[in-house]
This record gives sequence, C-alpha cells and structure tokens, in this order.
Amino acid sequence: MQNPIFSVSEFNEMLNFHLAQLGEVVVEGEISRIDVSRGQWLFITIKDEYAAVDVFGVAFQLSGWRALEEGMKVHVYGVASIHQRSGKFSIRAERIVPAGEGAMKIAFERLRSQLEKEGIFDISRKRETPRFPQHIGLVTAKGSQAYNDFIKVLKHRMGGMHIYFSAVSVQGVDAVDAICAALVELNKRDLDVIIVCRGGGSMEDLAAFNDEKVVRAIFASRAPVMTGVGHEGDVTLADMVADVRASTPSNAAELLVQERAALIQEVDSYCEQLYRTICQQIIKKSHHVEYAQTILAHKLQQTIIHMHQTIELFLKISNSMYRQKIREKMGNIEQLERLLTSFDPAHVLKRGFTITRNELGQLVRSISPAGSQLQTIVTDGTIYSHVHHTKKN
Amino acid sequence: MSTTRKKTDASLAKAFEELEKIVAEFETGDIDLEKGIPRFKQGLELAAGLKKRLRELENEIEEIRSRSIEE
Repeated sequence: MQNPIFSVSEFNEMLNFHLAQLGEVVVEGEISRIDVSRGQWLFITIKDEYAAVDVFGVAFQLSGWRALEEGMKVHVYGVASIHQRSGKFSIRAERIVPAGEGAMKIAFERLRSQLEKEGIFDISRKRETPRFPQHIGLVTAKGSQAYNDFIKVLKHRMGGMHIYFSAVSVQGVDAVDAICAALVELNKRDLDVIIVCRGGGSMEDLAAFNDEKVVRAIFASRAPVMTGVGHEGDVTLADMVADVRASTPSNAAELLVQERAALIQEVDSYCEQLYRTICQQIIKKSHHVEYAQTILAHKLQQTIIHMHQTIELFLKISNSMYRQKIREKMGNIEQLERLLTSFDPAHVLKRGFTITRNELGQLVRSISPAGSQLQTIVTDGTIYSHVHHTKKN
Repeated sequence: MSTTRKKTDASLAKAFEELEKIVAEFETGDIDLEKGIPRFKQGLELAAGLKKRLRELENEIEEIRSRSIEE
C-alpha cells in the first residue's frame, strides 16, 4: 500500500491533531534563551543535559513572566504544537513557574524588585483597618487549619460580626485564579476588611501568594486587605502588598479585633473615670456651698453683734438724753411749783393781804355802798362787818 | 438585613467615640454640673449599650462563591 501524500499544510495539521491528543503537558527544564517580542510574545528555549525545546507564550496570559530569566529552572504547563506556517515545534505555554527552591527565590526577588519600582509596596498607600470591623471578608481554604484558627481566635476575642467566607484553593494550579476571583467577588460588598490567609508550607506551597496576579488583585482591592500567610518567618509578596501583614491566620484575628474582655475593661474604666470626676465636682461644689454658708453665718453674726452694739449705744445715749430731759422737766416743774406757791391766797393773806366779798359772795374791788354787809377773810378767819360810810380816793 | 446591621455597627464605633469624647470632656476639669450630669448619664447609657454589644459571643459566617470558582 502506497503511503499517502500530504501537502505541507495537511502534514502540519495532522501533526497538530495528534499532538492535541496529549492534552496539557508539564515539562521541566532550564531556560537557555528568553526573547520578548514587542512586550507581547515570549520565545523561550528550555533544555536539560541532552535536549532542548522551544516554548511560546503570550505575555499577558503568563502571570509573573517578568520574573523569568536565563538559567532558571522552570515548569512549563502547556500544549505541544507545530506552528502552521513555519512548521516549528514548540510548547504553547499556559503557565511557566519557577521550579525548585533556588529558582523560586530568584523569581521572587526579581518580581519583588519590579513591583517595588512600581510603588506597589509603598508604605504611604497602606490603609488602616477599622477599630471595630463588622463585615469581614475571608479568603482561605475550606476546612483548613488556617480557617479554623482564624474563626476560633476571632470568636474568642469578639462576637457579633458578619464574616463573608470565600473558599479557595490556596495552592496548586487553580489557586491564583481562585484567590483573584474571590477578591473581586468580595469587593462587590461593602466590607471593612478582607483577610487572605493560609497555613505554613514550602515556598512552592506558598507560590500563589508570590504570584504577580494575586499581588495586583490585593493592590486593587477596594477594602483594606490583611494577610496571614504561612508561619512566623514566611514573608510573601502578598504580605508585602497587603495593608496589614499578620504573621499567621491566628495573628490576623488578633490584629483585627481587640479582645472583648479588654474592651469591656476599657468601658468600665471610662465609667469609673466619669464617676470619679462627677463626684469630685460635687464635693468641690458642696465645699463652695459650705464655704459660702460659713461666710454668710459669719457676716450674719457680725451684723447681729453690730446691731446689738448699736442698740446698746443707742440705749445709752437715749438714757442720758432722757435723764437730761427729765432733769430739765423737773426743774421746770419746781419752778412752776414755786410760782404756783407764790400765787396761793394763803400765802398772800399771810403777808397781810385780805379778801373781801359782798353779800352775794363777789370780790369787793371798789368801795361798797353804806349799809352793805361784807365778809373779810384774813389768815386766821373771817371778819363780818357793816359799812358805815365810804370815802372815795 | 444588611442596612440594619450597618446602622448597628456604625453605632458601635460611634458609641465608643462618643464615650471617649465624654470622658475627655470630664477630664479637662471644670464641669458645669447642670450640663455635666446629663452628659454623665449619657456616658453611662453608652457604656451599658457597648458592654451589651461586646458580650455577644457568636459571629455569623456566610459562605459566598465567586463566579470563576463555580465555572
């Protein structure tokens, strides 16, 4: 049977058809060449000790491609294909990730330095989380130790909060996209803070938190982001871009909310302060009142004493004046008495004067006619006489 | 529900701020007792409300799904 004859196009198409049956492949190799065309297309060659293969990638689809460099060991995730027009074989990469601790560290440093230049880690753009966060977004793996630690510590410290939990893979091929999607979804709500956390692991386990896409998603978050990734010493790029970095998921809960007991104690101490101040004020004011009372009593006493003195003085003065008046009046009376005494007829009679009345009892002041009867009173009795005759002066 | 919660939550932070403000007023010294006693009363009411809120034990957890995860 004769072999079929293909045109070049048909041949390349047939090869691509068979290569597609392989599905996604992962090839490990060291980058021996890396070219970037117009900042859009990546042409890479990876090799091992005996062979080399070309890799093609579209820059915007390859998160963290800037961290790649020649000599770096990588894992290329992609599909094998023949370029239809040139017939060149390459792996069309969907993801390229540094492989091994050394490569990852180099990639980490390169990306960190680039992002730093962009100002993504600037301290000046860090936001504070509210003192009393009530609506909290949580991005972590469901049922993980990180989830349990965070929820447990949070509940122990404070209640009454609403937690919007977005379950994601925190490692593996889906982790980066899942974390980014969760951040976008949570930011549709009006949240006080978003917590992104996971437990500790190797640098490879934490790779998603050093991924450029995740770093940019945290940078773009509307709500402040707090990270709690890994153990105490692990610092990822996600930690660096976050508004607040907690060392662990438990520490994230500790930094996020104050302990209720401490807050209750704070409220109690405020009450005590209020009591103390108001009591001090009341005591101070009552002292004022007491002082005013004392002053008033003193003044009153002084006034009373003064009045007593005035009355006494008045009495003294009025007494002496009164006596003087009495003395004066007595003098007058004595004078009058003397005058009256001088007018007493008895005294007059004693001096030799007499009182003569006619028959009618009238005082005789002129000569009476002859024959009239007269009564003459002298000091020791009455003389009855008969007028014999009269002689006018 | 979310609107009601938001109001309560806002009042939590606000109540704390208000209580701190009253304490600061009292600390500055000369309080007019006529005005000070109603403020004192208000402070105690705020403190009682805060303590009641702080004694809440449970947190509500709502699981949400993002589109790309479902896909």
